[in-house]
Amino acid sequence: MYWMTLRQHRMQLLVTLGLLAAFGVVLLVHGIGTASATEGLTGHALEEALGSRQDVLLAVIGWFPVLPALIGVFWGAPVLSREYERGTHLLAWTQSVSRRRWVLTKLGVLALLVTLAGLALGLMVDAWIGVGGARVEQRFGDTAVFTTSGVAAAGWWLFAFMLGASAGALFRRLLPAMAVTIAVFVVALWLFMVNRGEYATPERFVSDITAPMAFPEGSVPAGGAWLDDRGVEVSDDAVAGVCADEGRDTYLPCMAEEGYRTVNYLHRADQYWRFQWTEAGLLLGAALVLGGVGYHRGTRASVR
Amino acid sequence: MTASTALTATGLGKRYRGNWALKDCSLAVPAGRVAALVGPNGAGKTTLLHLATGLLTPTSGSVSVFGEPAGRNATLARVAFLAQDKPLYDGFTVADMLRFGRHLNPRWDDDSARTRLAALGIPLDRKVGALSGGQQAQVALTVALAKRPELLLLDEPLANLDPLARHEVMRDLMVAVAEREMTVVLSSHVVPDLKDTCDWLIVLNGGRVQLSGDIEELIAGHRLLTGPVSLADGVAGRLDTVDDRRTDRQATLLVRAGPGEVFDPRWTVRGVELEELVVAYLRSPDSTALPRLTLAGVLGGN
Repeated sequence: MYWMTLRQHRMQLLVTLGLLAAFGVVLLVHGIGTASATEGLTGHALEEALGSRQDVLLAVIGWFPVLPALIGVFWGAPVLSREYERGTHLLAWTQSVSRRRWVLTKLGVLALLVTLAGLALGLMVDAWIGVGGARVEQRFGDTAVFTTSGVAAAGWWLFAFMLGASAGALFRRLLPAMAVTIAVFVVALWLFMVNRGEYATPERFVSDITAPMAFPEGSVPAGGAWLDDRGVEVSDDAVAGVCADEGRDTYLPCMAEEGYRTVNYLHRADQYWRFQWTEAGLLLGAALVLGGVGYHRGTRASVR
Repeated sequence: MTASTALTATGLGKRYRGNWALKDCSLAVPAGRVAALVGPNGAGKTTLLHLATGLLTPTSGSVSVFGEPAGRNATLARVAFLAQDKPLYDGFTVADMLRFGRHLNPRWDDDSARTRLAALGIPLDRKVGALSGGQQAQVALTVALAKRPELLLLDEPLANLDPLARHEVMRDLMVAVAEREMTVVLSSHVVPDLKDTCDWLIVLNGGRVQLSGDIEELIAGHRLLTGPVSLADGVAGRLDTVDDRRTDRQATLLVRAGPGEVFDPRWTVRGVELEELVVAYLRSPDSTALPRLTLAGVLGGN
């Protein structure tokens, strides 16, 4: 069964490993270049130098969150649907191996490989963004990098694979399975990106209006409000009438005069791993549910 | 020949969305036979074979292989199935297909498979998708035979093959049957191809079994009568009439009657060909089906 699984999906395996290796080389060369270009620099100069080098690749990585959709389409969707489409399930399921073992092995082996590949990508991106040490917070603050780094990357790859596989098992035809995989993936990605802030209770920062705001490096904002002179949060509407006549330069001092302060909620960059594991855990759960659907449909006794 | 049965169906039925593809099907194929499963398209042949391999689960009744329920792992290892259109993995080489069989079957006979393919001149390093239709059929048959099945089920093995390939596939199949103890059930709607190879006949029509029995006995048990139409009613009243065609003057009756049966000398009486027999039964779907007759006899019905 293992041989069969690897032989059948040889092409996807080789292409994925090839692309991962190529991207790994790019990251490695670029990382080494960055390290030598920023050697000896510290503080703001280091940060700026790192930024100017890394932004080139970050523009590319900005697209990486949609990469798992390709895994779903090219790895997941064909696993079962192509067997049905070509009638080879009639051949495969009348050998001496039970259908349960067949489906379980195929889904299991491929899921493991996909997860490892996603993990490799995540750790590579982690290592690359960590060069120089001054901009490592980017992996938390930049939503694309967050999705593509650490264990979340592995979670997304696994989720997309199982999504494709279960769609293939449900529709039994490759093209609809591919289309549904892409559609559901995009919705899921959007849902996760929008709701990521809920993974932890944000920290509360109260600041005077006139003092410059000093938030921890790389932290992600999670909302804010005005604070009146009694320390109660008030909405923007409630303060609409206050200092309404002031100009652009005098508005904030006026607000300060009235006793208002601002409160900001944010997630510190050191929450990165907590967020990563939360995201990976949620995706793993979703992948297990989808895998269960695929397994159930794939092993149903009657196949036409 | 052993008395055990290779394939037994009891009240077997399969319904798809309200339509019965197979209904109330009871039959038994004795071990060691080469059975022809004959019927028009949509008669339920594929459904019956899929039920026998466990690809489908019955809606009603049961089907068993060598006394074990079909579809169990232990049963699956004793059965080989060549599906319609002979599916193979197009991207695999012929050697990959053998490897597929070796990995998935404990009793796999790699040597015989290689010998067979070599004798057929099919190169092992060729992609399956690049082979001709006849060669693909041979590879599919090789994979099925190398499993060393005790029961070999073939769904339209001769469809889409040119006459030469048909002949070769049939001949190779017969060689394989002669070499080892194996029961074969093959479906076809081309009766002449089966005449020389099969010794058991199952006729399916509209999802029901019309006929199931030893071909020689069936042939011996039917007579084709041609004679004046005025005599037809008398014979039809006395004997089971499968097929009854009358013109103004002449009647042609296919009746159930042994060689000892005596007829009015005005009848021209002769034995039937296999194809005539099959066609006669298919033309009259309501006509007597052997298992039903037996059942009716047991129950004391008409």
